[in-house]
Amino acid sequence: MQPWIDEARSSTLSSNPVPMMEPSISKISIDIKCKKCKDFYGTPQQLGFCSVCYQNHLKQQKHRTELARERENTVEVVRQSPKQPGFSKFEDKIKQQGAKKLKNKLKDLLKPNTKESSAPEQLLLDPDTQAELDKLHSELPPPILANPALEPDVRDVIRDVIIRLTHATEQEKAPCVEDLSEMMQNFYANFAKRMESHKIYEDTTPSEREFLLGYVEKYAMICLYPILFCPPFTEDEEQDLAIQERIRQLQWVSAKHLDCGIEETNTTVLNLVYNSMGKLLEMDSARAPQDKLSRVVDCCRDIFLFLQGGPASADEFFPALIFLVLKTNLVRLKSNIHYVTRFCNANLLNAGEAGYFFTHLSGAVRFIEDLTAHHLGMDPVEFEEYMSGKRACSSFWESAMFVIESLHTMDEGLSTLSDLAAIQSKVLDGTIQMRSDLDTFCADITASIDRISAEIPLQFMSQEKVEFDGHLSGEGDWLVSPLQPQSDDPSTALQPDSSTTLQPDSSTTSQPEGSTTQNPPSLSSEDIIQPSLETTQLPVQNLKRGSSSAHETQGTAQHSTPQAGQTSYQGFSSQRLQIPSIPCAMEVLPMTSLQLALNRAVTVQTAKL
Amino acid sequence: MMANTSSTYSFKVVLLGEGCVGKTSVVLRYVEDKFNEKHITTLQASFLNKKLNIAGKRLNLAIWDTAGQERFHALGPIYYRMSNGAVLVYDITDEDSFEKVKNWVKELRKMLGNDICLTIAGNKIDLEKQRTVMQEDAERYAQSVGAVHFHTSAKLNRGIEEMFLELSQRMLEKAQEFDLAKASEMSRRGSMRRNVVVVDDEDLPTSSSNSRSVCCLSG
Repeated sequence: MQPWIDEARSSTLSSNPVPMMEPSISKISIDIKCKKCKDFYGTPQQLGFCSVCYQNHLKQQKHRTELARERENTVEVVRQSPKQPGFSKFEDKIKQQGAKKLKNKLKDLLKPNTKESSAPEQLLLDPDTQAELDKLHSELPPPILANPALEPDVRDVIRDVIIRLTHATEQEKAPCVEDLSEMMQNFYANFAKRMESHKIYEDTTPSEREFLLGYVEKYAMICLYPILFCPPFTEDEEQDLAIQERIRQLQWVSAKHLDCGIEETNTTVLNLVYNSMGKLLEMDSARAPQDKLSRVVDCCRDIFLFLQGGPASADEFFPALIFLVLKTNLVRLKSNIHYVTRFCNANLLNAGEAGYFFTHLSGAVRFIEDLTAHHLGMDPVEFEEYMSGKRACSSFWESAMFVIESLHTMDEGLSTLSDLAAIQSKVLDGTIQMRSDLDTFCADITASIDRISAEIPLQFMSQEKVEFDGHLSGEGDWLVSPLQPQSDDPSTALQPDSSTTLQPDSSTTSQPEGSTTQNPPSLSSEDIIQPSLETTQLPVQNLKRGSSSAHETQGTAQHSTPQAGQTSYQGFSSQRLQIPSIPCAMEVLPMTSLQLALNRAVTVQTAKL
Repeated sequence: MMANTSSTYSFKVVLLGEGCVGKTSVVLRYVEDKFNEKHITTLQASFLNKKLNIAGKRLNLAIWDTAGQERFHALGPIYYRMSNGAVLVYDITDEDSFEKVKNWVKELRKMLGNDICLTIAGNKIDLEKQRTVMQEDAERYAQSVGAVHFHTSAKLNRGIEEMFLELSQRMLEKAQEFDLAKASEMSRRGSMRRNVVVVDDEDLPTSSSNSRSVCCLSG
């Protein structure tokens, strides 16, 4: 045991936490002083420590890992290593049994609840199991879920059997696994009968019943897996270890020894073998017997893929399966086989393809157990030498598998790379697309701008505005003196007053004169297109309102004029009282001057045209 | 094992025989009606299903091929456990293969008693000229052990369909007897079932074997 523990340890040491410690932090603290002493500068290479502190840090680290290693040695918890599964399995087992005891304790604690609560088993389950059960539940076909009476009944049935089996394992001092198996088989048979006869199930189709039977089996067995898989009251564990050791001794057996038609030199064949081995390995991770069984079926189907030369008969298939079992050396092989044999629905196990393949798997294991020199057609002395390790066999297979494994890793890397390449090209395409979109967008915009500017005489607008502004300012200059008294007024309240008084005035004064009414027609005739009208309208509004406001705010700002106009309307009613207070004479003067300004603007415009 | 749910009988038939006697060809001829052809759809000839109807009863045959190599001989019981029928194939040009069949029969009778229906197939009758196993010997032997003998050729498609049909009929009869016995047992609560079956069984195959093997020979 010792040498490979060291190996495992050295592998953990090589990836020991020192160089891995949060590079992001060290990056951030590039310019910062030493994390510890703050006297010297730290470097990212030294994790932000100065050289002295870094040395101390390393020492501490080493001490810590040593402590951890010692702890590991005492508890003997070693990670499972695929090379020496025999021992790692043993370690696993210890852990598992620890967990089992804990689970049993939990069950004892929760026992009063189990009878009453609707789903007692759920209280005891670890998240993994729960997730598996949820997944299983989600796979129920809708017609079964649609029937409200079905689900509670099925759940009751499952709960009942789980409680019965857990009790059976707990109460008896040394429960007989065969009895448990029989209980389970009876349960399957009874449930099948129940579905045949019970009123609740009369609407179900035969295929639905079959599915339900499978569901019940899976559900119950997933829950019972921790106590029924490789149970401590059987010799499964010893047998596991024995077969593991045996297979390890038989590693020198080649395809030629077994007369099986595996081309050890053919890469595609090797790849298929590798895949098939992977599927067999998955058998251990499945929980429900049915699932384990389906892994075996997958694995065996794969075997036929690499047996070339027409449809393979058992004569070719069986040696290949033995070879595969030998090379895979599945952990807990015996436990897995026993578990399926005991707790998988016997009807399923004895019939059909699954039964056929599983039987052959059991046969292969049996063959390996009983293997002698005679079976391989070789000299017993030679056989013994191989078995005892005196004669080493330069196993081609080992290296081939190693190569295949590396190739697979490489393939994975390559596929990741190609994925990345695909993403990158996608990004590139997107960039190009975006660029062209941008170009077209720009072109569109410029085109539409061109079109609009072609349709609308821009020069006119700008000219008019310029002209108008000029006039206004000119008028402003000209009008400065009459406005002076108003702008002197500090209160804004006065401004609306003036406008309100002005407006009725302006309407009365402008209407009879007709000069203002003349103004809009002349404008509209000039403005052929709407937008330009708007732009010209602004000055017109300005003019109209300006008749009141332009004068008041002359010196301040043009923008405030519309606002002033608006506020003037609000203030109209509220400040009416003040209207009479404004001298009439004051108003007259600006009015006349406004009229003048208007007239002038109009004449200028018409002259322009 | 038989599960006669919804009137479909499922039977397990094991295929036994030495390496090169043509087990695979026989079963492929039966299930796919093909011989040595490139376009055989199945990748494997190890486990095959065949559905058939006999007298309005639906049957499903699961045909289990077994590895015929001598080194796997000891594993036999694992495979023929729970089987309803066995087809023992030998090569008429190979005396040894017939001896193997005798071994198998002994073992099967020892392990399963008369619960299993036996059929012996002398394959490769297209190679009649090279025959080494005498026809009469084989038939006499078959009769003596309560098996039905057939002369088959997968290449020429001779006797194979008939062989499986006859075997299926026998298995069906046995299953129905079993059901009856079970029913009567349930009513009487007696333990006579096993005996009853055995007695009926003894009579059945021998009587049918003569007529069938003759008919096949003529055909």
